[in-house]
Amino acid sequence: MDGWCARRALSRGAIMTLDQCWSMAQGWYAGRLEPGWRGRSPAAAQAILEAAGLNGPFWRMV
Amino acid sequence: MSGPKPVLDDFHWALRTEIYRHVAETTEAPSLEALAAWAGRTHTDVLEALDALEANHHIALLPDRTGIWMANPFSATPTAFPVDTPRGLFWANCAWDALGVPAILGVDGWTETRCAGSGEPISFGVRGGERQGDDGLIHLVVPPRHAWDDIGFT
Repeated sequence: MDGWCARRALSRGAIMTLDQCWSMAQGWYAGRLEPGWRGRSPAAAQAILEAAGLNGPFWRMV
Repeated sequence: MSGPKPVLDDFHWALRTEIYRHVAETTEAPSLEALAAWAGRTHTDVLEALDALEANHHIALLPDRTGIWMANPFSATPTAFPVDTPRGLFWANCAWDALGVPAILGVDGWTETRCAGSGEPISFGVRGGERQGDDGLIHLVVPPRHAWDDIGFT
């Protein structure tokens, strides 16, 4: 991962497992096909990330 | 894009719903012409409405603004993240969205790709509603709050 970043001159970001991603994605995309979808507040998005164990400065929505 | 985001009205939300319905049902994004015909409005009206949806981070237009590029988790153009589902083959924008496709559709979905770091094949997805396959890691370079600063890069 560090080599991948170095080749692209990018800083290392954050890591999540595929299991965390699946846990998060179910909340993140819930309801988005519904005609009544009107977006989501940053606080609601934050709650979805935290429920999947995605905490810390990188994951702050505001 | 800077400045205040355009306020979305009922037409914008209906257009957004139609885009997502079309992608979910056909695996492909509707053309601007198809959206104009659906709405009974001009191509210019539709493009202006899509600009407003993009400014509010609901869809992304192709760089040349000739069509829809992304309606997350879906990509209108092929990517490194194909998602094979009972409803057809969808393209996801990234590894996150490769699991977003089964999440938004409520179906199983499977992705065969290669690890961006090692180049090794990786196979993962959702079967029977459960996450299965390889236990890879997703490395995010851009914090989610900045994802739309440059959605193509993200």
